[in-house]
Amino acid sequence: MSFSLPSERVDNLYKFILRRFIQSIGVLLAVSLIIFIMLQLTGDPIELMLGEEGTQQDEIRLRKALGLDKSIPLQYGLFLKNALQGNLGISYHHGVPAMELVLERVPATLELVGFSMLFAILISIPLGVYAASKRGKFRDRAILSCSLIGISAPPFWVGIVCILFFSVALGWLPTSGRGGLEHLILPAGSLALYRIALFIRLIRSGMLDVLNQEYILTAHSKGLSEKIVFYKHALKNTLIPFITIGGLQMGSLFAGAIVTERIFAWPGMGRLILDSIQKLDYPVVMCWALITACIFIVINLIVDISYSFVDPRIRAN
Amino acid sequence: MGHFNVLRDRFFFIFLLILIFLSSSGFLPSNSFSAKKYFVIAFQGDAATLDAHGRNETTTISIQSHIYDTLIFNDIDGSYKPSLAVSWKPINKTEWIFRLRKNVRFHNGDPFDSQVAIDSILRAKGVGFKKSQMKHYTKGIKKLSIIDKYSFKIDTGKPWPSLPAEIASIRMVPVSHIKKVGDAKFARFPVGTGAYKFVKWIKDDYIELIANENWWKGSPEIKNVRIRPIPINAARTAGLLSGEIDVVWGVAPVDGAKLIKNKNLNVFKTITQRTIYLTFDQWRQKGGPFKKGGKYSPGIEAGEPNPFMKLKIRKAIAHAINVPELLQTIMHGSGKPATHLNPPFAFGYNKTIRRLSYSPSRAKKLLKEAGFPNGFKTRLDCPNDRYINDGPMCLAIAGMLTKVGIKTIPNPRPKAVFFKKMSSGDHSMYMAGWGTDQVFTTFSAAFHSRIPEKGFGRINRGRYSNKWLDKHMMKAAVEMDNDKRKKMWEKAWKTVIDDVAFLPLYQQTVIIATQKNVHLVPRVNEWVLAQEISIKK
Repeated sequence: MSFSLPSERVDNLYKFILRRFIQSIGVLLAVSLIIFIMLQLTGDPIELMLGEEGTQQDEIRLRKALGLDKSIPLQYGLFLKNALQGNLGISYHHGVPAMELVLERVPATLELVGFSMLFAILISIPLGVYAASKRGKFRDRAILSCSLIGISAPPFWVGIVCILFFSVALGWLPTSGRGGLEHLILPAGSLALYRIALFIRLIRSGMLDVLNQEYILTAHSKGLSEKIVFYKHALKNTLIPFITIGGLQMGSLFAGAIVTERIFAWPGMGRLILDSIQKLDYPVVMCWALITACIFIVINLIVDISYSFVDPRIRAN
Repeated sequence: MGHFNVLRDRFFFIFLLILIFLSSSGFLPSNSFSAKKYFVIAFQGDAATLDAHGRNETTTISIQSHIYDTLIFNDIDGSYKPSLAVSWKPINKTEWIFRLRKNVRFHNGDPFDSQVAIDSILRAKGVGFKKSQMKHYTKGIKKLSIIDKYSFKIDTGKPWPSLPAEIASIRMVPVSHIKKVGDAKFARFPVGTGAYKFVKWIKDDYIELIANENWWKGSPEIKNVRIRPIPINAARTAGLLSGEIDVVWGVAPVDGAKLIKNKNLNVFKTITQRTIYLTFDQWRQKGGPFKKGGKYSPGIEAGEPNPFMKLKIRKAIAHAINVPELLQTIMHGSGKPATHLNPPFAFGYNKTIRRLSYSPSRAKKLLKEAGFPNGFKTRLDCPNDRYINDGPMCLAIAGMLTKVGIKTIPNPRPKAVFFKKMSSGDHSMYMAGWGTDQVFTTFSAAFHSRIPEKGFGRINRGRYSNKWLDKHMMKAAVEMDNDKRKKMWEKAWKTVIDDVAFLPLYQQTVIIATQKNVHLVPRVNEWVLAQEISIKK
């Protein structure tokens, strides 16, 4: 087992981050090109903005004002040129810079996604561990069946059912909107449901795998109590690969938040992007895609770095 | 495993208890959610901007009309009433005098007078504000001049009878204030003369307003208002049922039918000015594959003659569609069969015109007489996310046509794709909507021969063309005598309806639901205004 000096490790870290940074630029460029092409294929934003009742002169004027009368490669080129200077365009629909629109909604989405992740972790770890401990018994099977429902139920349906049950029928929680903790429960909960179900299964099978390892047998024969074996050794080792899964799931939560935000009228990025896609508000869609790509890149970077710190086997490299 | 299990079970039990405790006691009962200090109106979308001249879209303008006033007010039934202008009169064929209300102030204290009125109109026209989307409402205005502090003159150059209707769409703004803060800030922090003052706007969440105690019409009954955008119909209606929302705009027809039975709610309906219609390819002689700028009708089989060119075929289609049944089944009773492309209260509406009756046998007879005894194959293009239940309507209509021998394949698509395709000419028969009560705008866009460079026939994609009608409508547009003009438009409608240039199907109904103690009269232009709402004790 080789051992690297602290200064060497920091050096490697810097090189790693730099390499990632360069790769990220490539990713962002690819994302911008793909989204741009897809937008071109979807329809005409001018028609949508003016509606049927607009006039021909309005259409021509608007097309020119938004730069949509230029050729497609030229439009992309102009977009890149502006983007490099930090200008991601002005929203067709709102008339303000797209960047401003997206950034002012990031906190709301982060709140939703953050709480969702928290719910998922708080609920799935105990349940997953419990299911592993009761393996094969009725309680284990009950938890697994419930998690199957959580994985299969479509988030749109779950959201609406939650509203009907908890808000309309029981009156415990508000139906929509952002506010205090009570406004967060249903959206974060329904968004987390899929994640909870997934994590329960993963933790359960992870625990069962780990419990079969030799070092667990060693710990038992050392005379350690059940509790210590389960939590200190088995659970800790189960959760290490979880950091990667958790990181990927954060990204997936951002995507899922789009539907949840729409159902619960949550004023976040997901709401904005859905509206903007429907209205073909190109600058906002582009801006959103690039910012979301950045968030994914940063999360993955943090996950990769922390993984190397947490797993002693990787640290050695 | 003995000890261990008990501990796990205990942990679990406590965890469950905490969850139940939190959910049942920690939260406020539904009546005192923070929203209930306010009167809450829920629309489907948010305002695009709060700049009075920034965007011509129904929800945006409905929200803005709490904050701004116009010179002429669009009343609930569609008629025009004095607002910031107490009178307006044409003194000759091309000049109008507007007299203004005195002692009106903006929310920031700025006075309202002729100069402000003229500057507001100029701003709407695009002077000093390139982004204005109200420019087409100022088309008729050639010159503005002040007479005195509370009256001014508009010169329309040529006779322009629709001036009042257009002025009713131009909101008055504090121009000197805008110069100070800039357009961008004004769009976020609006200042008007209207019933409500702006408090704050959290985009996509809510707009908060407070009553303007000094409003010229009198202080509004409802003092604190929140306007919330809730995109999903079901969630919006759920908010009504839970008590969080007082007024819900746009209840889905299927929900409307159920809510009527609910004793704790009021349901208000009105037909709107939005008419759904069919239109036909009346210029391409033969069918064939689509090519941009090409001369084949894409919805007709290659080489076959285009049946839509024949009046009898268009009449057969009218006879084949059972509109009352469509409205009963798909719209759950909402909507009203239409004869014109304008609503019944529009100027020039010809009350003598009747729809062609539903009669499949007559439809088949006409098909035979027109030389299509075995019918023909075609395609019906439609949007599926633009109008209420447009997708299901499309399918149902295609089915009705197929029954009489016109084998129709429905082609519903998202509006982003649909409108682009229709504009490029990729259609033979399509379904769309038209939403204005202005008769000249309608004729100019729908029935005038298509001359895009001059702005004629923008939605006349089927290229119906009647030279007499082209001249007639231009004469009607400048006829200042109201009675004469009315008769001219009634004649114009008779012409296009007899010709089945378009086939109007029905006018959409808007359904507004409220809490039991809330009373309002639904507007034909689909706005909801807090200043028109009253609360019964």
